[in-house]
Amino acid sequence: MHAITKPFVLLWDALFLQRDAYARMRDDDNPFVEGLYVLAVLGVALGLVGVIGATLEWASSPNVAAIRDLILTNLQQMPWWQFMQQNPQAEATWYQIWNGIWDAVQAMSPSPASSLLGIVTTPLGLIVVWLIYGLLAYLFARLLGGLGTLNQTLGATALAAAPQLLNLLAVLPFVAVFSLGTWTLLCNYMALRTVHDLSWQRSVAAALLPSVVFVLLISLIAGVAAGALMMLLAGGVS
Amino acid sequence: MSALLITLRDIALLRTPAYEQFRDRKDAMKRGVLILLACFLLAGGVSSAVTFVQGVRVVDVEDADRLSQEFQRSMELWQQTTPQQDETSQLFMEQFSDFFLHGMRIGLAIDSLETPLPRGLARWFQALGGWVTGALVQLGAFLGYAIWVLLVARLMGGNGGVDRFLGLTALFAIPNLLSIFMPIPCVGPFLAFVGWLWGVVVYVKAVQVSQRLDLGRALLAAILPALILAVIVMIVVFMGILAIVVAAGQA
Repeated sequence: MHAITKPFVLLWDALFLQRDAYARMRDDDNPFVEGLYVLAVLGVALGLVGVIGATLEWASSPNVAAIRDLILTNLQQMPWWQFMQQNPQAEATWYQIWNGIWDAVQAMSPSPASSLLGIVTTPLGLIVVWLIYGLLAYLFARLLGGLGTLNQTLGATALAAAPQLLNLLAVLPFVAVFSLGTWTLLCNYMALRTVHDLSWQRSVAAALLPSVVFVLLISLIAGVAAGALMMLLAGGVS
Repeated sequence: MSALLITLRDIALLRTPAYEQFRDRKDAMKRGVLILLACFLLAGGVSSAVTFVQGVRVVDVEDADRLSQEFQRSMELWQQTTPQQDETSQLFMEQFSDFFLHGMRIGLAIDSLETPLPRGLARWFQALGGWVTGALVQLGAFLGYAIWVLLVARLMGGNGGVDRFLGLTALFAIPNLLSIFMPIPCVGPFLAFVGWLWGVVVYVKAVQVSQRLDLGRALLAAILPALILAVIVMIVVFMGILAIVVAAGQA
């Protein structure tokens, strides 16, 4: 039982930026393994809570297909509907867009079955983001004069997932959690400051730079993909 | 419990020793954030209860007719205040009115659709979710603004810890408890505004004590991010209006 509660005690202290929690992780005999364990336990807990929340939300909401049919029936009674029916091509395009929208709504609406996937994807997502961020944060912290090791950096930055504890409130249906980005940034700042013994200005830079790199990389990938798509389309047209 | 209430009262009354005592606590942030959440949950409780009671009641045909008559009356009033309308505007208003009434009918029909859970329980969950989300939105807004205030305070020579700063400034939520009276017509919004203004004063005092700044610098640190944001919004709005005017001129 202690093995399950220990990560939550650590995360709870880290959530409120208690330096002791980050120092404890830094001084652990294997911070990386400890961080990995903390994230795995947190991720599974979030996944399980997500299943309960999604099930209750599904049970408290009308069926999406029933909503779709009801709206369609009402739309068909409006004057513009008869006007549109005079043009079969416009009607076909309308149905195409209509079905596309409702397919997306159906995919996004909560369901007990699809939420089960979260038990696997939530911990995986947390771990992947942590590894990428931790590695980049370590590089920037060292460049800025930090003294910590990669192992210590990864251990402490695992605790920056602490704001995800708020997502445990998703056990209640219809609860949306905000502000995790800002809070996570503050936790990362505290983690890097504790591990690398940097000034506050350098700690802010080391905590922010990985996110900046993330955004730049995503923009670059999106730009390259958009360019390639345009070239393909241009080739196809010619 | 009574010690906590005395501290909260002294903080609301801007007594400096209460702020210093709170700042020097090791769990200042934990306490501050939990107090903020409790205050906003209490403040939003009455509104959520009203929403829940309204949600449980099934909207009948009479309600729908009353709503539609109210809308049509307000449309007629609007048309009377702007008597010189051209044909296009009148056609637009007629279509707008038609779409609105259809939309309302669809909304009411969706509202009466069956859910797997009994209606009362489903509405209770919805109200509960909205209530908790409301408090979390306030927490998010608080954090999003606080980091900018902290940055300005630090650049102006502030030297308090991040956790102490967040814990102390979160106490701005105490006077905001006055927004519990929000559902009362006329007096409620006024009291909520007084609470908000009082909260701003508590916030400035919290910045001053947590960052060990003088009052002028604390005031500047607290309002500068809002001023910068306002200027950016004004520039964006101005550019938008300018773009519309230029586009209209070219057309």
